[in-house]
Amino acid sequence: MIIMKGKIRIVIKGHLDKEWKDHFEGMNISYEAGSTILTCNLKDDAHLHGILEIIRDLNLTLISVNPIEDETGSIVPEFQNI
Amino acid sequence: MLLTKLHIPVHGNNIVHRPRLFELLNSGLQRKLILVSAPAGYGKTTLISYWIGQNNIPAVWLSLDKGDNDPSVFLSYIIKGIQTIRHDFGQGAFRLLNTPNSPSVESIASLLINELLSINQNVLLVLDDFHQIRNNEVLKLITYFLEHISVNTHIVILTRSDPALSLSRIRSQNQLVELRSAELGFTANDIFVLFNKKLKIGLSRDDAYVLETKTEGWIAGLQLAALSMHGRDDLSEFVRDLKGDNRYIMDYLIEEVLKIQTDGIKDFLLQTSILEQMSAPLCNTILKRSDSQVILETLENENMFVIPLDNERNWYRYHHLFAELLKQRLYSKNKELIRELHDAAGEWFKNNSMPLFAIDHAIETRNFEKSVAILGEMAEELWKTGQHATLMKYGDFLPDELIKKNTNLSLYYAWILIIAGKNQRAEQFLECAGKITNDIINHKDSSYEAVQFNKRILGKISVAFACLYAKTAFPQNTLNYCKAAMVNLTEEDSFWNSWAWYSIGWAEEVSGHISESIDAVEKALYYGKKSGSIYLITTNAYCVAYLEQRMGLYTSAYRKCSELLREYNAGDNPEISELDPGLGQIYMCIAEIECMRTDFDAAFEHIKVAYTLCRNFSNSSVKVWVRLIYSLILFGRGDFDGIMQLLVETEDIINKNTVSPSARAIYIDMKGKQLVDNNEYENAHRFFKMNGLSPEKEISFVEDRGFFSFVILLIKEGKNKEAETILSKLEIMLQGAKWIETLISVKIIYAILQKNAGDNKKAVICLLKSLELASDEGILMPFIFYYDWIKDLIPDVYKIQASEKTNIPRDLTEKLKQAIEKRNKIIRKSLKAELSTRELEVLRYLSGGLRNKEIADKLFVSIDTVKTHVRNILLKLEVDSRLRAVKKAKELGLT
Repeated sequence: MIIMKGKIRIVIKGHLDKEWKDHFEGMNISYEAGSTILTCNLKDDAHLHGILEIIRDLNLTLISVNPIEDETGSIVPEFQNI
Repeated sequence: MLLTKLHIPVHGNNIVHRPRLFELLNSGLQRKLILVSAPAGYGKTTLISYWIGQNNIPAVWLSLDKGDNDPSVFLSYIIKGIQTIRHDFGQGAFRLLNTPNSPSVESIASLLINELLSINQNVLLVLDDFHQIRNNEVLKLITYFLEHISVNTHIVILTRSDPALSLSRIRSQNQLVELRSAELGFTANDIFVLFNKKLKIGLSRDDAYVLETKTEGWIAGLQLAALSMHGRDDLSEFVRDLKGDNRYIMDYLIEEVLKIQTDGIKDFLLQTSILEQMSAPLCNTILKRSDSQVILETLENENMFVIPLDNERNWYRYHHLFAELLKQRLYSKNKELIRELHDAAGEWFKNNSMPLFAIDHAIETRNFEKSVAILGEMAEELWKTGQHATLMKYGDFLPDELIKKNTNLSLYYAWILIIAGKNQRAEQFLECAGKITNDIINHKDSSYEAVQFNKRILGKISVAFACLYAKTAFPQNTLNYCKAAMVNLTEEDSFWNSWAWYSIGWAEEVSGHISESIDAVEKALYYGKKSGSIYLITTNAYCVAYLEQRMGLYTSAYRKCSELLREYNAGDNPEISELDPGLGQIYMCIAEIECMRTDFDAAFEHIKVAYTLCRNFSNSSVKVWVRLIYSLILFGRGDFDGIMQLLVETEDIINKNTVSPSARAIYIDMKGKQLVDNNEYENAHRFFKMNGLSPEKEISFVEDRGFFSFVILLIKEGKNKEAETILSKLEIMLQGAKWIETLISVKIIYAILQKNAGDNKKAVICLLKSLELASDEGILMPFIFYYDWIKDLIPDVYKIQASEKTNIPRDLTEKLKQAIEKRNKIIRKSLKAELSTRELEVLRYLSGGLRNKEIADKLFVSIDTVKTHVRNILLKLEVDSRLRAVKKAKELGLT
């Protein structure tokens, strides 16, 4: 099985108030051209599904989910084989 | 149970009638599934409850939540729900469900489907908030329902994400109607009707179009917009400004709505948002006020996303999305207040007999000590009513260290862990619980009541330990724990007494004390009946019958099994006999006895029932048993392909599960015999070695049968001395325990040994002795089972029986003759079908003593072709030489 782990970047349509930070536990909220960017260190797959569920339940429009590359250009999320 | 979950939600008066959606939904009455899949706030619940109400469709409503991820909880609600339209529905199934060892949920589901068939009208089963369901078992149940429901029943699923139910298949069968956000969202026209005709807020057509674009027809957004327009004159301006800055629309709207509320209402809204459901007394308690009922009713009237959960207006909840928005605002304000609110709510739920909610509130504030304390108090109830998944969920989630300090929780959690086969994890909790109770019992300051109370707990812990060791083969440990249990349990603890005696029975059997074992299991059965547990009754009844059978007391065992089946068929729940895997064991016992008496046709019918019933049995050993007895019956019927298939299945179960030593022993015997019969000696040796068999090995009572094929292999290889060593060990042991059934086999194998040593006379005497043992109860199967090795001795046996004075009745030898003849006939038929006409021709020439060359000439073919035919014949007859082929063909009457 492959586990998604590491830094992740989620883009949501529109401007989500910073006040929602507590709701998206441990996530950073920033903005970029009409979109909200959520970033965090992912613990595991379940963590990601939890975040996506909050987005679904608030009827936010999800634009993209991506792993973040670090300075060296390599993908940070480790795809661990267990 | 929360009956509010079954309440069909009341829709307000401000409903926009949308004929297009009604048409779609009506077409769903010809399909199995209506799927309403859209994000929060698209009016799913309102639409369906409105449609049901307008058309008077008989409907069962179930509002799901996280707690329904337990198959037995889920099914219980389904039954209670259907009872709202048919009060006598599923009562038997409901009782079955709420016991500690209920039959498989799938079998209960099939029972319910049968009952649904008898309701001769359209029934709608609405499952709201289906996205809350993640449990695989529950999802499987729904799939099963969808596959089997009649044309009268329709399932409606309301969800925020598409369910994992193989929708594409249902779609391709044209059994699905889908409503998604595209259909559900409001058009400009719908918006116009809502604002002007229903809410009486004057809105121009143009503004309606702007609103449609800005909200994308999202109903919750529109409703919030309407609330914030209250009392404004500048509607067009408001609509124009709405979402002008790209903000999340809900953030904007909720701010606007809250802005126009009084402080009192604002506080009420924010602080009650932590509640999954609320009543006026609950709100009064946590907010320290007294007017909650008035506020709740006002909120409902003002369309403030408050939904009544019953007709009496006792319970309400917020629309989920609205609650999220409120909660977010509360959380960013006052963390300490939130803790206080949860504490107060938890306390209220606890005092009002809704402990599971109290646990959830304690978990919200990470107050695990409190969660464990409450759970500990209700653990026994959860276990007793079959809510194992719930107990397991909390047990797995809460910190182990805290659970270990709570003896009650440790005990019941460990018990369900043992059932789930997680023995190692269970052991830790039992050890801690045992230590704590012991300390209290032995402490000089403990009160009399405390000592008595803890003694009973200790008794139960001991029973759990006994069962734990019963599964891992330490008879003395089991006996010790049972002794400790008996001292501490009281007469009322029927369930625990039954398990204790059952464990004793097991331990005594392993030690070879069979009559003690029977006594113990009889006691276990007595307490089992007293406790009402179906599992304990069938399991112990089976054990008594099993042990009697081993001792050759077939008549008694058979009678007990038949009586139990009769009791069930005449009892309150005759349907159980078609469901309960425990009863599968009883059918299995009946089938085995019939098989041993060579009544293969009756045995075949019964084993098929047993096989089906045991399919979902939690006990892997029973699954192995049923397959091996099935193979034995197929052996009697000459179906060798069937045996192969069953042995493959058995091997798979054994590889994946821990099974009892006795079940494993029979597998070794069957599989070993197959290898030896096929002359695969090397493979057979490897197989026996892998399973730890050797002439030196100590033989225990539960493993005796595993040695039979091994001994035959030794005989075949001329290792008579080693074979005799094992046989004499077996004979002494079995004679002492009066295990007549296996003793018969041992004597037959002795005969094979003597024959191989060249002493046919002695061999026949051995056979006569075993026939004498078999005569009382007609146990003839062993003679069929080993027929290929003893068939040349049988005529002498008949002769002696006919001419000399023996204790063998004539009926018995007659029956044996018939069984042998019948089986030969079947094998002959199947071999005839297998051999081609050409091969049969070649076989006849072979019997006539012709050489290959001569046959080739007769048939006008080449010698090579004849050789190929001969090779095929040897293969099909399972022999290794032409001479043997001729002999076998003659025996079977093929030539």
